[in-house]
Amino acid sequence: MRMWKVCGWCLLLLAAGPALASADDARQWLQKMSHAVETLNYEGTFVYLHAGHMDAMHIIHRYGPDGEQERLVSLTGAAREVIRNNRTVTCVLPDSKSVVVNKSLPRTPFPGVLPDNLERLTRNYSFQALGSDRMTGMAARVIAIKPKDRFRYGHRLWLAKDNDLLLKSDLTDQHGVPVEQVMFTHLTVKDHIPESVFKPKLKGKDFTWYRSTGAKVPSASEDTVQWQVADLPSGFRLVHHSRHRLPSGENLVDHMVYSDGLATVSVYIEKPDADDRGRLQGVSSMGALNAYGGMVDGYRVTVVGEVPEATVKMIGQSVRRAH
Amino acid sequence: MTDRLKEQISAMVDDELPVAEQELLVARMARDPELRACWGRYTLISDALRQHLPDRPSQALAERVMAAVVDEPALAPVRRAPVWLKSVASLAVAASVAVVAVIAVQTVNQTTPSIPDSAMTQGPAYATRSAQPVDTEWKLPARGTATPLDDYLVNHNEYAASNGVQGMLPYVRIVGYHNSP
Repeated sequence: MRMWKVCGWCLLLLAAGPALASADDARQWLQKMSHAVETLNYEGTFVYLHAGHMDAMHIIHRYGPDGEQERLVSLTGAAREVIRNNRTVTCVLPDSKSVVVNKSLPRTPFPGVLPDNLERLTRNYSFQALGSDRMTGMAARVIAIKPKDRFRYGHRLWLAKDNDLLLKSDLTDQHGVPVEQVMFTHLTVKDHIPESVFKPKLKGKDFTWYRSTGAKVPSASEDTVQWQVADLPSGFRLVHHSRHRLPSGENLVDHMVYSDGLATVSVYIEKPDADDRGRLQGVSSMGALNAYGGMVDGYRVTVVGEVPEATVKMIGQSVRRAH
Repeated sequence: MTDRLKEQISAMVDDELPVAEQELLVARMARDPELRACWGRYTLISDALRQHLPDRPSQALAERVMAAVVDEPALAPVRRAPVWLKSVASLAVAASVAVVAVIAVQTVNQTTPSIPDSAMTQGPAYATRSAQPVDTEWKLPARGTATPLDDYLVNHNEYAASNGVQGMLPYVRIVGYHNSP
């Protein structure tokens, strides 16, 4: 009888061991992925599925002495493209005949490296290695990041075993149902990618250019209104606050960025234009991205983030003037 | 072959031949290759009318089944296992069930999250999302202006992009949003 008990414990241990190791493995692979995606030279084609739409895109990425360079081009519909380097992000939008230029920000590695962040992450998400699969013709590991409440999305990621690059990415709701999916059909790592491929292909000269001004941190001495968000979902905290002009706007915008370590939410507060028509009122969605627009004390509040509707709404409706 | 026989075959293909006649007809078909060919043609026609056909209908199926049956070696007589072997076998089965149970628990843990994935490819998840009223979705910017929405998107995505797990793909939304008509 005692023999059976020992066997039973052995079986339990066998079953529980992998689950504990799984979360650590998953986080380690995510760190490797984050590093590979930043430092490798690669070129690939992927499909993007969101809210019943499907698009194909091409990505080229290289890493050199000047840091990262990346170009993303739509292969379907309007030939929108985004070119990013360590100084600027240029978005070419042929459908609106405009080019939007923003300053780029340095990337931070997967947040798990910092123990402080890791603790915050594990409070709101669970990590799990789901085993092996085949994706884009390559052997892949599958990792799930599951949200612990309804205020953030989950991720299911397929990472190449060879080079740790991301091959497929599902953004899932609380029940594991995909909201947005990206899947590479082709991805190659290259030794060298020439500089020339990172030049935008602008056809026609009738494009309007919009450039953002540099952001600056607002000082308390400035004669401006201070803002705060009264209700933040668990784990979210202010990671950035600046005041800047958006590329096509006239007004200074207060920009606050909240993050739970994975999901990011931006809150923009500005004085409304004389012509405030066509502005976002209420909740609006675009695949996994949700936005909320409303007015607070005569100021326009816009909340944008790759979080569920409940989150942008909760944040947007609890913006208050700080006293 | 008489017309009466053809009618019988046709009736059997349509499953309208009385059972008593079926037995007789099958016995005749077993002897007569012409009747089998006729059965094959009628079945083909029936399937074509009901659109049950594969891309390349296989011909003379009845003939090939017949040939295969003829070539089939007679069944070997079943040997009874000795009693001691039986008990070893059942023990082995019990053991492998236990192993399967452990593996099953682990694989269930591992594969459960992918179930919604397959459900999604069949459409319901997206169907419910795309069934949302269209006016909650962001509109394309008017020609000649970049809307503030583009501004917000580009600006916000730079912050989202600086966050590791999004990887290389934060700008996918800008490039992809409402690209499809």
